Amino acid sequence: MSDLRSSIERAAPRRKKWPWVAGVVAVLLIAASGFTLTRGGGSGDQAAGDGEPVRGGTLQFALIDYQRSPDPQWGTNYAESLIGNNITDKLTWQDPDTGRITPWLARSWEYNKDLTEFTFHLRTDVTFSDGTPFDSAVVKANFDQYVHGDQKLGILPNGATLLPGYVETRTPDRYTAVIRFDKPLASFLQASSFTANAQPGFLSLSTLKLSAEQRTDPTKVIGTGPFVYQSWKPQVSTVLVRRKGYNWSPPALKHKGEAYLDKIVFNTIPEASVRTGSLESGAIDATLDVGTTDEKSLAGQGFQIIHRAVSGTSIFFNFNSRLFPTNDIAVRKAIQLGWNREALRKTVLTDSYSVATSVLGPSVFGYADYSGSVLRYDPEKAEQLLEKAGWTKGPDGIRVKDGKKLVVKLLGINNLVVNKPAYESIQQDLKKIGVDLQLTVVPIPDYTANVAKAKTDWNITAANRSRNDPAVLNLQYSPLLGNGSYLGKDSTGVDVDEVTKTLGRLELTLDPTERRQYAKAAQDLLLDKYALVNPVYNPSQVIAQAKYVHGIVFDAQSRNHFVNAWKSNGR
Amino acid sequence: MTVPLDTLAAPARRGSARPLLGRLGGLARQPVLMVSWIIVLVVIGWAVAPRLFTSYSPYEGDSAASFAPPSVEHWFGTDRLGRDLFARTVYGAHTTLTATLLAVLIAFGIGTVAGLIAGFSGGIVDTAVMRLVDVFLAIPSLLLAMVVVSVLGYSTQNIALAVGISSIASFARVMRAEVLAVVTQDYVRAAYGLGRGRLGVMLRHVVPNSLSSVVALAALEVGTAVLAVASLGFLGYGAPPPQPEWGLLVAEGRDYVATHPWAAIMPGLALALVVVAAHRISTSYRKEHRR
Amino acid sequence: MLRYLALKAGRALFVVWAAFTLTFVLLFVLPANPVDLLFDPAELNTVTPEVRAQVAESYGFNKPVVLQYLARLGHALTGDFGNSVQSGRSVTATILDVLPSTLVLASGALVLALLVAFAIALVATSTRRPWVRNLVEALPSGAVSVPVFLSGILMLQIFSFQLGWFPAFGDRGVKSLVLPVITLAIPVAGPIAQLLVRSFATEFRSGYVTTSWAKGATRSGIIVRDVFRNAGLPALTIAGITFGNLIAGSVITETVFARQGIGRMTQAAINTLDVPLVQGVVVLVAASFALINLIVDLIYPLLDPRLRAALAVGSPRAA
Repeated sequence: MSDLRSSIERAAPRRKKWPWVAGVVAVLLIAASGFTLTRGGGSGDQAAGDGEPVRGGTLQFALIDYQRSPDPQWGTNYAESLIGNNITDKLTWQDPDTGRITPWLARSWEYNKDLTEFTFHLRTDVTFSDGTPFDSAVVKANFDQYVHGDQKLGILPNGATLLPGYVETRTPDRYTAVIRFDKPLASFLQASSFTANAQPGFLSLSTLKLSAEQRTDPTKVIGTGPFVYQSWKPQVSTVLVRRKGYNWSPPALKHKGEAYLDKIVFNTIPEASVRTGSLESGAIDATLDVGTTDEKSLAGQGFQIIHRAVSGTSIFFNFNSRLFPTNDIAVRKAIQLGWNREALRKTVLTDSYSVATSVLGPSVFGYADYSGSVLRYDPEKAEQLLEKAGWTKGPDGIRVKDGKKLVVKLLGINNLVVNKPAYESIQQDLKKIGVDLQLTVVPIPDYTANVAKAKTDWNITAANRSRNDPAVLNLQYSPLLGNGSYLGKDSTGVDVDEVTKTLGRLELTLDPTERRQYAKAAQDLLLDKYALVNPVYNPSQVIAQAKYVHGIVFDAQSRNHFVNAWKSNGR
Repeated sequence: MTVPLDTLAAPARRGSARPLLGRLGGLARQPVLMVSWIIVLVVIGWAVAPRLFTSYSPYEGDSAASFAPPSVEHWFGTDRLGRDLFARTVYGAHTTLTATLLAVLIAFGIGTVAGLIAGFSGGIVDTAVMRLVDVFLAIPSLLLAMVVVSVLGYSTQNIALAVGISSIASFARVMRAEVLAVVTQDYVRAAYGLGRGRLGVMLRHVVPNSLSSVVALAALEVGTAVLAVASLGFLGYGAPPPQPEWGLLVAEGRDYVATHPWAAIMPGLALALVVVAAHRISTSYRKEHRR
Repeated sequence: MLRYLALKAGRALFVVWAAFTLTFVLLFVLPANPVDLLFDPAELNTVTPEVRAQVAESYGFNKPVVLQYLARLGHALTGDFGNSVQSGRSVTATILDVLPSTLVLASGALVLALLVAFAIALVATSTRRPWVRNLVEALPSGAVSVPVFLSGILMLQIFSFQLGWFPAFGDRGVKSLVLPVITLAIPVAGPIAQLLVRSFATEFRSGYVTTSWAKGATRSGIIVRDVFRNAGLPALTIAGITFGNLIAGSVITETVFARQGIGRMTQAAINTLDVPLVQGVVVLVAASFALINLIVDLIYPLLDPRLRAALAVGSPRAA
């Protein structure tokens, strides 16, 4: 008897808490759905324009990642690139809406016909935060170290993949820099504005002389950007303060003078529920990495959701064209047709995300829409294709050919909250047409470790690549470069030379009409003719911010700039 | 004088010989114990024949019913893909119980034997075993498990193996401490006095009288193992989807705790209930043996 | 006595060395190349072999494993664990930076856990009402049956976000320490309490207590004087385990509460195969562990008169 009582007493608090939590949730949900109905889904890239900007104040910002080093030229995560963008400036600024390259530290530029030499005319009024001038010698020193690294200092060749074939930077005069390559590199123009991982942001000559270890002292990392480092606490926070005298933000941003904010604190908060709760309780002003399920309730409470799709490729399933059974084009095509995009949109994605309609994101120049042709849900046709290719259903519903089961092994990353449920949704659908999709969705380092063995071990690698230029297809899929589909002699039915040539053309011209054609041809090849990739959804960077926060900018790589940001309460 | 001493030496052997009927009668007088047994039996039932307990599929969701709250139709609510969480919990019992059992068996089996040998033989054997144990203890179990899982690859079996391996050391250490305490007891000396051999003393007196502490640890280990698996899931080392596993269900549900708390709390509650029930049973078992 | 001390210290050193070696071996068995992990996974296939070789060389990963091991061991003996592969910062400085915040968290949690455990054991032993005893005895298993991350997150939901009593993240003095300390103390207190409840009960029924009863001592007097002293002994045997629990729990607590600390740093280091950093941490943890066990080994015989006597007379099996 006594035991029963004790167990009831132990259980009681839980039961009491439960309906209370449920009630709060129900109210929030109802409030949220009502709000979104009246508000509509639209939310622009920029939230500026609510009255006159107010100077001063500290922005408390939250995100999931942290900077492993304050060195902006190194990094593979979002925190590293995002903070680097506010410490350093680039030669050019890519317009996030049109994809056009516009001036920044370079006033103007020209290139030779072969696209092997790019001449930049620099602004003359730019200085580093230690007072030293920004000139062509700085550009040269930066690019040399960025591409080659420095073994003695322990600096990695961070830019080697972004600038393949870099030869040298010439400095005909103090404010002219000529960057030369040994083969055509049309995408370099976009690369000069690149703001994602391992970006070409300019560091002072004194910083370039520092070793990797010395660069972990944030006050010694000197850039020309609108903010300067105050402190860096790995895994906890990075604090930036306004750069005095800054007056060279990209003309396209129409921002004059220094940043509005005095200070930005980037707080690393790994747990989704803690980021959301901290925003709700007012401990932070804005947060990136908003959980998809929290978007609605936050909007319902009056927080603003701003987002931009990450430019570059969509989240893709890259098929391994050498490995059984994805060496069979019928299997690849069946997978493209075999999953319900509408169900994915409804259960997993929010308005901030979209189902992929090509391997390129819609914001990338040269994007074409394939949702009417190859990228649609047509399970009957998928099954026909498999039947025709000799795949017959076994007793457990999984198809079999020559005694071998249709088992497709996928390797994915769990860094985006959407990935796992999205893949599971596809897995459910494919099972219905007799394809057993086996998922291994792991953290980035384990993914990286496995990608090294993907050629022989994985049928599908699922990831995305952030680069707002159609040449990303060449980088990702060219058999000479990324070779995302592991094309080779064993890839039955694929003309490898054709792929190499078609994709390679994207680096040969900057003429818009020609480039658009080449981009279309590349997508046709990858999606339709050889079906080397199954695009899934367009990833998005989503920020939830308090009403008094304005002017956080998403750039062409969907990284944030804070030069224009302000708080109407000025605190 | 010597004979009663020997009888006294084996106090642990009394209760187990009681007839079954008497046991059931005892059970009826302890409702909490009965409830605990029912919980454990039901969960074992889930693991063996999940179909008897739910008509929903744990893998196929209804996209129209994404994140439905607990109701008569969906007792535990549904997850993001509209899969019934009760069904996932029921089917997940198999994965979880197998993994837990494996982990506890590895830790208990190897750990107890190592601790017994070390404590009883002493000398160089003790030193060798205990230094090895120290090394394993010196690396915190969760970290060791993380490394082991990274090496072996992601699967529930490997996670169980990792958790089991990383707990061997603590069993060995507790067992050894108990053995050391027991060998100084009067009845053990008495047994030697009676001329029994070392192996005989070990099996008849030392083992039964040292085990209760380790069994207590094993009971806790059931919980620890489930939770260690959950922790690994939380840190990103989970069983491959769509396999339902309790720890993973809780770990996945935590992201939605602000808006859809049932997704983490319902499987978490099931997990906690089983751990508490298993513990309750082991406590009563021990008490009975102590009587 | 001096020889005994030297022996124990030697064992402690062995443990540290073995842990160092074991991690090295495990990290090299890992199916990944640390060089790969320095690049964006999407770019991995684009990285040229020359670049890869250059990176490997600058970290010394291209040398034979044995040489790498010996070089690391040699440096480690002088207290130099090299630089973190990821940040390039010296391992020692990196660890020293985060150590204080973990120490504060762990010691706070340990103190709280001990208080709770002793309270539970005291109540369970001293109460005459069976239902109170049953309730209290069930607490330890309840404590360990909820995942740390779930209890942490739920506590945050209630005390930080609903009630606004404590900050949810960051380091704002004692206030921001309360929730993490409680979160970490719960699972640590469980095993200690369970052990104490059991040994309190055992001691309570043992011969010397009966003697005290016979001498006319009171219940509380017996608990404080006799049981308390003798029952603390088994708790010491799990000091090492408790230490491990604290470290493991801190991995998760630090993640949930976004705190700086050894646990979270180690997890990141294992994830990114940051060999120097992992080894630095392992040596630190193993050394602390060895030290704790050394202390336990030394005071163990002092606390238990029976064992002390046994050690002095020689073990019964000699008979």
